Amino acid sequence: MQYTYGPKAHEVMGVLFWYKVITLPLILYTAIHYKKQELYYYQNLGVSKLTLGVCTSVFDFSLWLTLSVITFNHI
Amino acid sequence: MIHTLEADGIQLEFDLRKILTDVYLKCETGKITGLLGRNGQGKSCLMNIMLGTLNSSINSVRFDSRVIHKAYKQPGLLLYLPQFNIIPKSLTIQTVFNDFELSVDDFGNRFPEFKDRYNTKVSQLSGGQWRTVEIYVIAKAPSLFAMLDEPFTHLNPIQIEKIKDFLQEEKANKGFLITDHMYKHLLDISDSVYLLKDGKTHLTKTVEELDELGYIRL
Repeated sequence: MQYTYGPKAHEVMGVLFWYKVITLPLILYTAIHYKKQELYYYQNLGVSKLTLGVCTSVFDFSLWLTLSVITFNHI
Repeated sequence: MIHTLEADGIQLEFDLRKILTDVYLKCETGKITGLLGRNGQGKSCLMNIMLGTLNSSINSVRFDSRVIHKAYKQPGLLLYLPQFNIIPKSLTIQTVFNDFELSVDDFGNRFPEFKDRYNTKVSQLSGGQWRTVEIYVIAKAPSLFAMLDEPFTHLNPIQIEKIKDFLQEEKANKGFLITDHMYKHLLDISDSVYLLKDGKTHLTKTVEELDELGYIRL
């Protein structure tokens, strides 16, 4: 990434970071809207909508961050 | 020990339209309670209020005389099967039973048509088979009460009879609140039946009483 974008790599990373932060709740809202019937399945298992949302968002963001850092440092 | 789940004084209105005005309903462990009512009378809304997922202006949902607000957070107390399918399409029968920590072999013995299909995704089952899996899981999973919204929909007559026998056996382990338009089947298995009409519940038992209340025509 540094090779491709040179000194602008940090700026690109910043843009990508905020893009990820903004799209994360939008993706979550869309998923809950289209899968709301299946939420009852997890509710009956004792897993709340909030827990599902927080866990998947944290996993998604952590995965994105890890891959971004690896890409930033090694390419 | 017998546990009770009561819905008392529930009022619900959307905009200015009153849906529920004066509701009292009592479920007990070891019994099946039926809930009848025409479309739009608020049966599903009442179940959602009892579950705590729908707010009403006034309500008192009590478990063993103790007021509870968010029963959906306590699956060991109350489970709910809505009128639509809830099992994610991508899950196999085996996965569903693992999630609920139930024996899939017991299920296969009870419903032999599912034997050798444990690794089938629920989306590959027929509508009746999919519904059978859902009813079994909700009825069998450990909890004191279970609410089933239109469980007989999509089931063929043979499946309905099997499910009725199954629920009659399972009521020894929990209390059921069941609503369905197939009132004859519901009357067959229910220990008490409420008719929801004009926002109020009426305790009934026979088809003659349902006729008097205008739910059916004999």
